[in-house]
Amino acid sequence: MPEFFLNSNQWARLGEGTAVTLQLLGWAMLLGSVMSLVMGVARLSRFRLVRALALVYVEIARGLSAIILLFIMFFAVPILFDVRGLSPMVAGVLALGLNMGAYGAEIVRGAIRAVPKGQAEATVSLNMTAYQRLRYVVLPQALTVILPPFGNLSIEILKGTALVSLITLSELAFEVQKLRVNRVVIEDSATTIALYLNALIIYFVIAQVLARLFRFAERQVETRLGSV
Amino acid sequence: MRDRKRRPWSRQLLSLLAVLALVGGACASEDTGEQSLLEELQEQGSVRIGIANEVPYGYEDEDGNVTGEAPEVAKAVLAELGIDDVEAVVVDFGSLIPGLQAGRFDMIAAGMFINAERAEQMIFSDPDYCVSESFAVPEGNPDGLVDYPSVVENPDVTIAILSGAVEEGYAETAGVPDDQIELFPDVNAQYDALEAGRVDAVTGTFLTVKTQTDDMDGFEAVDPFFPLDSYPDGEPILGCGGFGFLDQEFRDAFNAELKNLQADGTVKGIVTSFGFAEEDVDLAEGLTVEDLVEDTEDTEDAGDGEESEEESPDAEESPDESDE
Repeated sequence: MPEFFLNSNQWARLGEGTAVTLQLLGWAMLLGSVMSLVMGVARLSRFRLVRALALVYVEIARGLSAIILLFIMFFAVPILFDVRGLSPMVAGVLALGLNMGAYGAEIVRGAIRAVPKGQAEATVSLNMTAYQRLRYVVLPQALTVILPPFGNLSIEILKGTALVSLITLSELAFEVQKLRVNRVVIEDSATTIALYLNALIIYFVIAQVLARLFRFAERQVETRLGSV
Repeated sequence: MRDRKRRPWSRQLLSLLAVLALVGGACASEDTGEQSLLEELQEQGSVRIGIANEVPYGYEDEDGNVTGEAPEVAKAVLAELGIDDVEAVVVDFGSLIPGLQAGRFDMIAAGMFINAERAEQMIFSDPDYCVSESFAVPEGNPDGLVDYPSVVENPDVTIAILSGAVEEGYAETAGVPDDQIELFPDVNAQYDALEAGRVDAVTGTFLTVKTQTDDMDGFEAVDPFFPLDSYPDGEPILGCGGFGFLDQEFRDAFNAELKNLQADGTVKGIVTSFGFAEEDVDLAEGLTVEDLVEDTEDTEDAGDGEESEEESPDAEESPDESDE
């Protein structure tokens, strides 16, 4: 299909957009993973208040629409409170990362609970601290359960990054949008079909790389644990 | 405080927003308030303009540079004010005014039509162009669309309207039912929908329609027309676009320079280079914001079409007659 190919300029713009998408994805995954771990563990805390706070976070962040959150942060907050507001990148990372953290926390909680009780009991008899128990015994075993759904979640977040195009961040989806405008003014213009096909493939390739990375990590964790 | 009454949920939502704002506030750089916006912009030599990525009004070219009728006029005017660097923020058309209010950009340069409703939310410059309306239809105009009432007469026809654009109001005034309207967030989506057969026609300014259909196979623009402020025999509504501001001083300075550049022909040169007719630019030069805002205010009470005769400028085909 000859229509598929773009000119070098258009490729370059898609490349720039992809870089922004990856940056957004990276930060959102980082924030999301940290929130998942912290909140997932907090959900199982001995202290009622900690458990309650973690539950509130999970329910709110899971139930809020990321796109509405983006619009609030981008348009509503500066108008309501007369402040400058967050940059689109920060707003995007917050919305996506907090969203991911809420789902991730539930995964982490489930994974920790799936570790046999005897493991935790053994750490008590060995006089380990709560931190040691989590760090050296429970989490390494939970990780094998955490990683596969986390791979899924990351791919979800990757696709969610396109939402941020609506608040002016020039990531991949937005670059495509903007290039579509050119077709009426530029001689060597790309068709809508070509642009979207290219974007589709770029997203797909990134998703594949993510999936591979997670599978690799899974294998690493499994070999390190031996056959438990 | 046991006996405290439960706060209504709207208050709770507000306090939630307040928390969000605190997060936001951490990254916000507080204005000193000493400098006016204009001085600040002049000092830094740059300004952010909001555009909606609509050819030919304001868009990014292939290299990502901002151009179009409104940005180019804005660049010329701003250069006179000592602001040489123009940075564009591209948003949905419907997000232009919220974006301005949220401080995402300093002015709107998207060729936005001046009307009373918008003038309540921001301050317009005087117009720099006027343009009539049209429909993009399949070649031969199979449904015989010539204006909005002709859409009402064809209940099977669906038209595409840009969300937040004046055409929403035009269609409503003409009594086009909601199920004959599909709203789109941007111009490209409208024409993709037309090409894909999802809608039967696209409304827009004559220039947009012409630019788009010239680039497509098998579609054409119907003859330009001015929608009426009431049907069947109201006054034609003039579609004239200008620049949007929140800051009065910035707007006044901009407007003064705009007037100068209109007088020496610079504006006309720029605007016509994007395909606008010379008489449409002349028509705009004879008008001020007040003419257009009052003109459209009459449309609000579309019931009494007879009284609104006083000073709505004559839009019919003969722009040269309209003196100030």
